[in-house]
Amino acid sequence: MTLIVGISLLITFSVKAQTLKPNFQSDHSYGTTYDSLIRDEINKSGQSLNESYFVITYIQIGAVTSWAPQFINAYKKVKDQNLDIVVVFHSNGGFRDQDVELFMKRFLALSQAEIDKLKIVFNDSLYTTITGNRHLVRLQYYFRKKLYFDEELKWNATEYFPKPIIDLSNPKSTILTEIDTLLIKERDPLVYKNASELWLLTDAKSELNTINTRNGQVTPILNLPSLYKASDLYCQFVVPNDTGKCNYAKSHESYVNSTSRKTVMVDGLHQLKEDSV
Amino acid sequence: MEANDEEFTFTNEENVKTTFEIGEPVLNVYSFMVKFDITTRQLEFVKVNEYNSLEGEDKYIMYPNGFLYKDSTLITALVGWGEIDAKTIGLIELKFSDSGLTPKTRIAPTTINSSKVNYYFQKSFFVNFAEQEYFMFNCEPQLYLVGRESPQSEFIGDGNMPYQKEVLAAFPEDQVVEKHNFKIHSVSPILNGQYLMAYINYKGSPILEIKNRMLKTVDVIYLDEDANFKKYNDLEFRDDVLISNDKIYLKVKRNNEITLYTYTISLMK
Repeated sequence: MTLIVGISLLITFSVKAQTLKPNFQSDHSYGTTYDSLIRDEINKSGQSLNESYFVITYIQIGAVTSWAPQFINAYKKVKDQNLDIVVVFHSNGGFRDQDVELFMKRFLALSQAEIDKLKIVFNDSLYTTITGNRHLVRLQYYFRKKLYFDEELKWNATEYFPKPIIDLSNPKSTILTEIDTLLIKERDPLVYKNASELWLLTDAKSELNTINTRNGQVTPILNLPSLYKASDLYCQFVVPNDTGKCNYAKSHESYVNSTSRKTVMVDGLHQLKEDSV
Repeated sequence: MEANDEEFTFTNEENVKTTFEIGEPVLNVYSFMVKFDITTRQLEFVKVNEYNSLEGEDKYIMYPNGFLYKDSTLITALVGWGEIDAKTIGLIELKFSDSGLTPKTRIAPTTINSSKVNYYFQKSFFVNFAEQEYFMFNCEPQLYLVGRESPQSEFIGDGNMPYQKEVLAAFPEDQVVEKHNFKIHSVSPILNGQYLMAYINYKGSPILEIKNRMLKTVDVIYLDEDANFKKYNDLEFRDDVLISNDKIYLKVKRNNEITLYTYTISLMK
């Protein structure tokens, strides 16, 4: 097995720190989420709701000729996605809740079977919250309990909705042993070696280690800076026929080292296949 | 350290000029590829010859964090650090020769314009997926085919639009107000090459985005509630999230102990 290692002589450094805050756009409402509000309403009515589902909002006081077609379009878009569909009605100023089924059949072009599959919620405050206090027919897609897609029907639409297909199982944990934790940074890169081992390249010592993923044992494999001084590599590979330049570099090396600058640094690691070299 | 052979003046961001006289000691950076045979512990050094730009600008080869090594050639990213503010990145092919590893040709994508390269470029990714070689770099969401100029797809996060207005820091003290929509931390094919999974910092939250072989986003997994990833929210870019062989590995330091966490990726039943 052969490794290829990129190194730089002398010093290279970079500062790329950032501080980032969570900012899920409009999916928070005073410490809770739209999903939790919708879920509460569904639970109150004794129904259940999967993690991924659609929501269509409808306000009864609007003009049926304008808003019913928008509802129908939204429903057609998602009815074959095989996911729960929640309809949130704003009923203040509209007709009685018990007349809604009749309204849905006559004006929203739904069959009884389709209505039976819907999860219908009457809650003006929920409607107001998830539509952003605007009177709209709005299609939303909650994907893994997060607002993924939020469409006002007059706007451009997506034709594609992801589904939860990948599962991430609870992690196994292994405490790393036989390692000087002060010299390991959390950001030191890991590289896959095989089913039971990883490579770990440390920034502090530019040292290549293996991690046994089963017992956490860390084993140093290669430490280039301890094997070569910068001037060794410079003389051998950069100015192999120039004794003057070589001596100059060697005579100044102690000064550079006295400034605690790294002079040999391993930047990256790539594992080659056995038959490729 | 070398004796300076050409006088030059450097002006820093505060307009302070420093002149380096001929003969004055200066530090220079040289790069090598080192092949290390684990069995025999043999080391083979290959000097990397710098790229001489035809455009009259210094371009720097950025192989450290990502490259494609195949048939004695190496493909990696070339960044125009010599520009006043580096704003382009492209690919270059290098070949092994007697004089070392020498740049031969630019290959597509040759010039990707990105204002973020100057401050945020840290890592490039080369991934073999769906029988193609793809290239991407950490600070932009696009996926490029090696050999084609235009992007083939992009990571979209949770698709929640409109995207937030990005705020990029020009100086270190501005970092507290930085806002990024996308930052790729790690990317790898999973489940026998059926899908491509990327670990992304999306609008400040850690997510996994999964694309199918047509590069369409088919799943997004939110990690901001996961105790191990949660702490990432307020932290900078990290190199240690590794996706490989249907597993996600990351190290977490608590109470002066470092724990390696291993998640298994599978299809939902």
